Amino acid sequence: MSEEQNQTTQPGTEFEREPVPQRARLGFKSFIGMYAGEHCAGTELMLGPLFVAAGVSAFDLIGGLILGNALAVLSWMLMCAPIATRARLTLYYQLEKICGRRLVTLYNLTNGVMFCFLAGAMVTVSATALGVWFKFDMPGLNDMYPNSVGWVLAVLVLGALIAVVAAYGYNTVAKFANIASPWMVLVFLAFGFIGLKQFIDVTGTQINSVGDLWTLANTSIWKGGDPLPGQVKFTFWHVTFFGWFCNMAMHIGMSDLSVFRFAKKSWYGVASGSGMYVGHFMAWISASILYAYQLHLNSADTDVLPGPLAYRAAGIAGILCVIIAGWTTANPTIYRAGLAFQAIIPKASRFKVTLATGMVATIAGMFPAFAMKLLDFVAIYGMLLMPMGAVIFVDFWLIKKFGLQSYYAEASGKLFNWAAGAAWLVTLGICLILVKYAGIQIYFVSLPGWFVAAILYVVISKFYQKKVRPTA
Amino acid sequence: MKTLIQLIGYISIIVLIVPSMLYLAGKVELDQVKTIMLIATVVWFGANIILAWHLENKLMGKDK
Repeated sequence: MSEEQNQTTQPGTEFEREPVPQRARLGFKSFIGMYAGEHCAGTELMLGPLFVAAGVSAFDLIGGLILGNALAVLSWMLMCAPIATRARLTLYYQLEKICGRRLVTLYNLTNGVMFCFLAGAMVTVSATALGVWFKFDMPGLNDMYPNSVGWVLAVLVLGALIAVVAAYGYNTVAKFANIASPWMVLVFLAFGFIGLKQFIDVTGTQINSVGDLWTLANTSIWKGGDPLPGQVKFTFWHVTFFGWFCNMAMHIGMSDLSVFRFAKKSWYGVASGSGMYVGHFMAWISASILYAYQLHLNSADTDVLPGPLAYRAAGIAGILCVIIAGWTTANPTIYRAGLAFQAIIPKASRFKVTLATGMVATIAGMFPAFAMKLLDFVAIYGMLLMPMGAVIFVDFWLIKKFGLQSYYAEASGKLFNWAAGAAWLVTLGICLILVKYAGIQIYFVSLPGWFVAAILYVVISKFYQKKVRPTA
Repeated sequence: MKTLIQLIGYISIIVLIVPSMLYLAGKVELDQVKTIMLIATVVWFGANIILAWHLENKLMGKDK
């Protein structure tokens, strides 16, 4: 999973306050490459193993990922891209027209904070590679706090480097990330081949058909059964919903309006499939095989440490993949978090804000909880931003059918559209209640949450827009 | 020159993945795979960094 797409939502990028003109529109191929590269990130090395730790079975993993990723692609194609190619505005500007500048600032703050923690998890992933060389104690699967001085120093050094580079030379790293992207995809694929062969050898299995391979997958790799202690059991539906919603902020949450506003046609949304089936299918499966092999060798060794996993499979090239995957994805994430914060304090220097943001991400990276609980964190991230996606969807397609004003903040001159704000916050409150008291797990709650947000926005707008008449 | 470097880059990316496939087929040892992957990695980044540098110089030349 990756957050690259938000770049164009921030001030300082092109066409930020106007529709993208015809001459700047991009062809289908641009989106294929972009999504394939951006969704093969450092965090995939955590997510794949965490599925195994959650006791997933072979059918649940493969079937769930096929379905979940298909639903994600459809969400991009049918919900996000059609609005993007009609309005051709950044998420930021479209939200400002609907919600008003102050509410967008709150949205930016939320987004920025989540970016910080996500970047922290990416720094954590990279730091596990240093542990292979320097042999310090690294965190275990259920560790919440840093557990050794070596670990803290490794994260501090890496995080500080990433923060300084993000503040000084974002573009250089972005160029390097483009070079690294195809290499990284193939190293992930190699992880899968190598892990599979190691399983074949260690189990003494003879593979003469696809049936033999499936039997190996079921009996040795993804065996199902109980999750590891402290983990939630993942079924077919968990995997499906996780695959669908792990990028919820991007598709249903509409962050990728900023990306697809450049698309010539709305069906280009299908290009997201390259990212889903390379990063969120192949890469997750490959990473999960490496971890399953580790458990097969020693069931007590439950640590999810991408560095040692990759080193065992591919040597120094594997270690480099872990460092580069974490670094190239943490870099833009920190940069964007910095931009989000800078939008709140426009007078602050971008350099200082990015540096401070990077240091916050570094401190977050010292706490392994963000990486080890990445399944939960990603689900929360999607849920937090999802209601605003529902607001945009309703405002664009439905609100006029109810006799209400779309782009209400712009029309009324309001800085804070309370209908949108209340729909967002009340939805989050309802989601929390559903999770805490109704037994709905965090991975599923965003689905009913979207409908709650959509209905609330219409109902509250009925009252709110009556009270505050548009000035235009 | 540029075409040659590009070609070297393409070959290195193929060399990066083929050994792991051969390992899966039982044709090579894992240590060999690791060594070849490292060499292919160095060549891939080397070739592409040279290409990027070449492109940047060309653009700067045009600007002048």
